Amino acid sequence: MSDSKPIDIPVLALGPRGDDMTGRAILRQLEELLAALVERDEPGSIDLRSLPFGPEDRQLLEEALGEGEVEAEVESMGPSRVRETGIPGIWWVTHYGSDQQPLAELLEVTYCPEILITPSDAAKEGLSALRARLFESDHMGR
Amino acid sequence: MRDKTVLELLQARGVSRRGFLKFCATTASLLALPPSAAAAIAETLGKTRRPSVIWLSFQECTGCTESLTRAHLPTIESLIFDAISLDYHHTLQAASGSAAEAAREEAMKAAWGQYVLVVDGSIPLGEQGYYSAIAGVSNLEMLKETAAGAAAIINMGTCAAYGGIPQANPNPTGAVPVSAIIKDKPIVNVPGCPPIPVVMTSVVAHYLTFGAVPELDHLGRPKSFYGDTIHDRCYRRPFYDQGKFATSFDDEGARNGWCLYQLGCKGPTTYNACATVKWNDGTSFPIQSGHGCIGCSEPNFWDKGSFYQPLSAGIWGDRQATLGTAAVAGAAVGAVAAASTRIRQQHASEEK
Amino acid sequence: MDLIDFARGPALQWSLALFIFGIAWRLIGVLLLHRKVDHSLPRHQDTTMGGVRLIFSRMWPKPEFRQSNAVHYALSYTFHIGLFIVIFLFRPHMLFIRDLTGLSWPTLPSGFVYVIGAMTLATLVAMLVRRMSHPVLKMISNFDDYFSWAVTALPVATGLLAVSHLGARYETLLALHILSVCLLLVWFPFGKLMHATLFVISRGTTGALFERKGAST
Ligand code: HEM
Ligand code: HEM
Ligand code: SF4
Repeated sequence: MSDSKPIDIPVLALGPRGDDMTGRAILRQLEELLAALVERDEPGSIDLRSLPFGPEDRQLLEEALGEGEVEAEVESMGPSRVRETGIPGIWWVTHYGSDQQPLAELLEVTYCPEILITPSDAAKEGLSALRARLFESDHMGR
Repeated sequence: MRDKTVLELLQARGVSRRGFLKFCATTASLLALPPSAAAAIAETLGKTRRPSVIWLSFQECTGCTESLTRAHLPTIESLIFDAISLDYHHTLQAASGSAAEAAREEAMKAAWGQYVLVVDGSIPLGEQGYYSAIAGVSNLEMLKETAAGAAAIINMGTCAAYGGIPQANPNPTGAVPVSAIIKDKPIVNVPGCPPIPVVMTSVVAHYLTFGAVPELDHLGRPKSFYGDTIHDRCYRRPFYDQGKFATSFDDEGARNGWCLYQLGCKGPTTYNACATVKWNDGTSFPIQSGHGCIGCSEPNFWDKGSFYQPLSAGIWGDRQATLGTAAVAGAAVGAVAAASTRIRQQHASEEK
Repeated sequence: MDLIDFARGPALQWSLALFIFGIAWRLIGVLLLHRKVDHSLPRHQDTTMGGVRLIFSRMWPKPEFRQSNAVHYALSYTFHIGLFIVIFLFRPHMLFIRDLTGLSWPTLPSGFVYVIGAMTLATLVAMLVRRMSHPVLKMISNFDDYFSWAVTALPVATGLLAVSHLGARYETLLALHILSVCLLLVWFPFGKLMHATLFVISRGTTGALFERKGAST
């Protein structure tokens, strides 16, 4: 075996199909979902991992949707990146695991993704926490 | 502990409401459910009591457990397992010996009729089942006993699902799959040698979430992961369609990443999620690493001819001998037929 | 054993054996037959070329019939060439034969073969329609004609269904494909499909006879 040459096995070859059919289909579906949001106040979303989604599709979506005004990062069981696209009402949400592995990638059509909204229970807890801090500073501080 | 809901358990572990939403969204995505199912999952988990899981390992190589412990998504996965409480798994649990057996009996008693039984490995029937025994109890006996109180059974790996390698010709131990013994419980097969880690965790998560087995194909496999062939989701498929095939493992074609059909790839008749979910944190899968699919999630995969023989090649013993014998026999019969015709013709002309 | 393993294994093994057996039987049987001695004075001594010539010249219509038979010839050629391409120039098929014989040869892109397969099937259907609508042809057609048509068309149809996953799961369709091929293999030597080999003998013999007599062919 000493004379065997190392061979180069290409681990990454072509993209799945080399077209952006899925991307086009997603854009059509987004149009419907956004209409439903505007007309009937119904939010919706698309799971990008459930589709045969190639680099060409991603590029098409990124170009067509563009960048919006909001970009947020949520830190809960690993990071989640939430950004509004250039089409208001369409949000690109990516959930990562604690090892930065993407777990789920969604296009959410909504006024505000639920993960950004403070849950009312948490707000209640926040209120009592704040009061406790005020109490502390009133009594201990100057 | 046991009567807390899954949501309460997660909250007790410091998972916030947002974390929970994320958990539900990623679970829906993993289970290949529409995103709208996330809300349903959230609701169910808020109500479901923590189910109990007993994992039995029979005639197996521990590869399935090895694979499972390498599930990526550590956070989500460990949550699922913490939540479902693995009450008995003789490889993973700390207890051993009679303490371990006691744990199994206790878990069975505490959740009789409600626990999920996970099995890896096949069950030998030869020698009254004593080719494989745990703590003096044969696999056959232990399976019957434990299955009796189970709500559902999940077979992890091809051995438990279809008999796998222990059952391969000549099957010295008389190995059979779980379904050959247990007929009266819902059974989910999660075949693979081993199965993909997240497929294992997701199937358990599905049961946990909905309290019911997912939709299955005719071989008892969840359709969400075993719905397509490797071939139909393979990134090398364009090469198959273009007629570009690697003809050895280091030729031009192999270097260019062409289709591995001619090198024995069993992708066209194999249903599994390797081509989409992939292995090792989504890094790659066998075909992407240059080796054809061996069809490990299909029944009898070990006995379907060589892994390196093209799928369309014959699978019976000596092919050339079959054809040679047939040709010789046919020629002989033809010669006899011609000779007898000649004789008849001769008689006929003599009679004239 | 599931259907596909049965089809791939015993079914294919036995039908291939019968196929080879039957062809050997019929060819040897015909070749060894006694031929009547022709006492007439031959016009030509060497008749080989006459035989060979007829084998080929009969592949093309005579000028007189060219007009009226053009469509029929076109159809017949299309499906025969189509069959050849589909059977021999599809890589899985070539590999099947390579496994049996050790021979290998270049093949065509699979996608192209599917298109040819669809054309072949359409042409076969047209041939059947013609057979069933032509008053004379209809009258002289027997079971062998229809059955031979069916066993020829079925592998093409099931092959196309299998690759497009239409109607059932791939392995089921593939098993049906292989079983339909088994049927073809078993029927082949004993019905009129044997023309694929016997045409050489029949035309050759006729051509040689014509040559000897000096008849125009
Ligand atoms: C357009 C028409 C056809 C298509 C698309 C087609 C397709 C296929 C495919 C995909 C396979 C499976 C290879 C595998 O196991 O992966 C196959 C096998 C085979 N086909 Fe066809 N086929 C067609 C027509 C025919 C015809 C006309 C014949 C014979 C007269 C034939 C004979 C066979 C044989 C002998 C096998 C090998 C069986 C095996 O897989 O073990 N096919 N064909
Ligand atoms: C070199 C080989 C072959 C030759 C020279 C040949 C020649 C012919 C000829 C002259 C006809 C009559 C055509 C007509 O009605 O216009 C015919 C018909 C037919 N051949 Fe062939 N053939 C060959 C191989 C095959 C093979 C391999 C098959 C099938 C596996 C096949 C299937 C048929 C069928 C089904 C018909 C009847 C079509 C119909 O009228 O319905 N042939 N062939
Ligand atoms: S490598 Fe295997 S699965 Fe991929 S296209 Fe080729 S035959 Fe199909």
